Parts: sequence; structure tokens; C-alpha cells
Amino acid sequence: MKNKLINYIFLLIFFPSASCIYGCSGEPDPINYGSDICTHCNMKIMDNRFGSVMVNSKNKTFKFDAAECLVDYLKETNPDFKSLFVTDFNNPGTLIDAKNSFYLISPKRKSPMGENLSAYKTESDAGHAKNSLGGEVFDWTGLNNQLGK
Amino acid sequence: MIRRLFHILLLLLIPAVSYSVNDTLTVNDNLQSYFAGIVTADTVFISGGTYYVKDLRVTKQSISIIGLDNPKFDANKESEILIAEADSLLIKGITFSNTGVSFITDFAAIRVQNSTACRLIDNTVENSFFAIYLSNCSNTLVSGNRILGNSVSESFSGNGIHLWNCNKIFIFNNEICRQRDGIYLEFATNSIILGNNSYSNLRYGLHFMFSEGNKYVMNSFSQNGAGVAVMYTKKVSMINNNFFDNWGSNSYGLLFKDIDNSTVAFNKFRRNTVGIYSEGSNRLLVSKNVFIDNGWAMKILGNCYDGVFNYNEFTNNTFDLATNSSRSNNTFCYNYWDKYKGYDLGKDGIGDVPYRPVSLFSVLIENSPDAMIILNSFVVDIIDFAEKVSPAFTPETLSDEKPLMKGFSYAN
Repeated sequence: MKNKLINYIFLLIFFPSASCIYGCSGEPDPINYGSDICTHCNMKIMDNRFGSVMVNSKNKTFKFDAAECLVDYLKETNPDFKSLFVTDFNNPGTLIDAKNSFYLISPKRKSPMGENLSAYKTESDAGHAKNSLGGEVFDWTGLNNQLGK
Repeated sequence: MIRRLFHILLLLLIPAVSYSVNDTLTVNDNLQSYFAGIVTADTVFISGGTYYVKDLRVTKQSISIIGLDNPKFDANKESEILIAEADSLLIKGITFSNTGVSFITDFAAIRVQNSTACRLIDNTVENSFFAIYLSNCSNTLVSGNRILGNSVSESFSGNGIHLWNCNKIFIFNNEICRQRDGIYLEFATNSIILGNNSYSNLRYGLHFMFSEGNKYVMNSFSQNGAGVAVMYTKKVSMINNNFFDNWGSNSYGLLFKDIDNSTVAFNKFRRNTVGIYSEGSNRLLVSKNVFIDNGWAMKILGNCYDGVFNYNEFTNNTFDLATNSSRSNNTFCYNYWDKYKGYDLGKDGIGDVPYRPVSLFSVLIENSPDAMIILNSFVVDIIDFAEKVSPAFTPETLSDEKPLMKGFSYAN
């Protein structure tokens, strides 16, 4: 009887704290390339140079196959989000903060959903890519204006 | 009359002239150095054997490169194999293998760019990242090629036949397997995709975006990781294709996303998790298709308007139709549903009572997928029967007013 009670109390304490460790940080779940589905366009997410993620205010992770899908989704549904991530093109599979990243739109670097859009952690990385491929570099706000046209 | 004669004479003359200047050459080795220099031959015959080549560039117009005794071009997993920028190019009977794999560039076995009137015929491509890659091409024939990939992981795989910004391409009778997407079209218009077999690809058998006015006829798409997905396009015709064995939680025989004014007819959907999944697609005509042994024959979401679904046959599917909305703006008539239990007193072959293809249980599943565990149980039969007698939860307007009494098999 006593044992059961202890177990019960243990569960009561452990569960909320455990879920808090996983849930409260605003950190995204990782993208499982090859099995996850893009929230916006329904495609299987394949290319680990382009995946992007939104974490909403309830800490639920929404995954996208490309930054352009993320931007379109935000525009269409106007969700309440906590954080946004895109993939650093130079480090495939690594998520970086979308709002502080820099974006290159260049026809020579094709992205999954046809906007020729790739993301970089620093402005100089994006500039490097621009110098070799041509195109135009945007920050997050600029990108949103550009894709809205 | 004389004018017409003159035209005929002219037509006869043209081939004579072009053949008379034809210069042929047979290459046995040092292929790379031959193409690095000034190419004068109009036809280059390649003898059998293996050639190790890197980024072989072909820029001479109207050149024919023809393999005799099945020669093999091998890039030793380092680079692309053949990069062509030449109008009226012909590449025939050559095996391409072992392109490089890269995160930054899309290495292709055969890349043709900025060209028109090219022919890629009867080639084999093995172990390659991207196989055939056309960009900015038009009036081109891709026929009889065999593309045998060995993709295991998604990031290390490319597409079989990849078209970007092309017009009037004829893709005929190719076999494509184990690539990422079998056939991939982006901004490719007015093309015909006929008689291809695309199977066991990691993601999609066929995938296109922004590719208007294409026709897909008599192709077979089977056992692909996620089936076939087509999106953001108008005016598509898909006639007489087979969509078989696309199983998986996110796998679809045919996925429509924002496809408008399109026709899907005479196709056969067999053993797919979902036969047709349609989202945001308007004015579709889905007619004379056969749906057999699927999990869901169709899922038509509430944001699809003015579709017409007629003369289809639904046999042995777990669910005939699912939707996420209580309204439906699509027309269903003259379909055959094997679950229809009505009667035909007039003996005109058309049931006298409407059929409602959305069962209450499929609505339940949409809301809570875990309820799948009670599938085929007695409880489900009871609630479905209750719903049939007095519909309350299923879409009021979604019914087939004239269901057919007898099936038929168009695609057999």
C-alpha cells in the first residue's frame, strides 16, 4: 500500500517536470529526413540543406521542407509562434534562428519549392554564395517582402 | 502546282545535303582528350569498353554520339559524366555509371542545358546521383532509357529524369527505379509523359510543380516511398496510368495539392494507403477510374470545389471516401460502389436510393486516428448503420444520387 502511494507521488512529481524539460524551452524536435511531412505542401521532407521549423506558442513543432514553405505558411495561417528555424545551407542538418539568418535568392541554387532560396548563418556566408552564384541577399523581413510580391 | 512540286523537291534535297557532309569517327580510347579538342565529326561512334571520364563537355551542334557494343562511361564517383549544350544532339546506346555525390551541386550522369531538338535514346544509367537532367531545353525526346539507382538514404539521392524550365519534352518508355523521385518536373510545360515505368523510388514515382499543360498517359507508378505527388499546376491530364502498392503512413497513390482544371481518367489505383488525396484542388474531373483494395479510395478535403466524380468503380476499399468538412461542393454521380446496398426497381442499372460514401466511422477516424483499432468490429457496424438510417454527422450534400448497380473494369 505504502509502495503504491510512493509510486503515485513519484509519478505526480516526475511527469510534469519531465514534460517541462522537453516542452518548455522552445527548442524544436529534430527533422527526420525521409519520413516527416511538410506542414504546408504535404511533401516528404528529403533535402537536409533546406528543412525549416516553426515552434508554436504551445511548443508544438511544425516542420517544413523549405524556407519558402515556412514563409507561405506563416502568411496564410498567421499562427501564434514562439520560434522559427531554418537550415544553414553550409551545414546541412543544422537548424539556425530564422529571424537572424540571411537568405540568398539565386537561380543557380535551386530549392525544393521553386523559390531558389537558401539560408546562411552570417551575412558574409550569404555574401560569399552571392559572389559565386549571383542573385540577391535578404534578411528575414526583406525575404518576407520579397516572397509576398 | 509548280510551287508544291518545288516544295517536295526541297524536302527531298534537305536530307541529301545534310548526309553528304556527314563525317563519322570511331573512338576507341582517349575520349576525354577528343572532346576537349575541336570536334569536327558529326557522328562519333564509341566502341565497347569502359571509359573513365570527368565532366565530358559536348558543345558541337548536331552531333550524334552512338555507342557500339554497349560502351560504359564511368566518372569514378568524382564528377558529372556528360554535360551537353548542343542543339540536335543525339546520345544513344551508352551506359553511364558512378557519378559523384555532392551536397552543393546536383551531379548528373547526362546533363543537357540550353538546347533544343535533342534525343537521348536507349541509354542506361547506373549508380548515379541525378540521372538525366534537362534544364532550359525544348522539343526533346527522352526515350527507352533505363535508370537503375541504388539510393538508400534520402540526402544522398537525386532524381531519375529531372526537368527544369523545359518546354515540349517527350518522355517515352523509360524505366526508372531506386532514385529519389523517378520523374521530376519543375516549370516544365506542354510535355508528354508516356509509357514509363517508375518504381521503388525513395520518395515519389512522379513529382511535378508549376508544370502546366502536361499529359501523363499509360505510365506505371508502383512501390514508391510516397507514391505520386503533383502540386501547384493547372491543366493536367492523367489518363490510363497505374498507381500500385504505395503503402505507408504518408503514402498516396496520387496526391493533388492545388491542382486546377485537370482530368484524371481511366486510371487504376490498387493497394495504396490512399488512392487519391486532394487538397485545394478545384474543377477536377475524376472519371472512369478503378479503385481496388485501397485503405482509403479517396480523401477529398473541404477546400476542393466544383469537382466532378463520375463513372468510377470502388471495389474492396476499407473506406471509399473521407473528408474533413461537413459540406461538399463536388458532384458524385454514376459511380459503382461495392458497399452500396440499394435496389433498382426500374431496372435501368441505376440504384433508386442515393449512396453516401462517407461512413460515420471514417469521420471518426479523421478526428481521432487511434479509433482505427476498432475497425471491422461490431460496434462500427452498428454506428455506421445508425448513421445510414438517419444521417447526422456525415456531410449532408455528399452523396451519389445515381449509383450504378453493376461494376465494370475500364482499366483491365
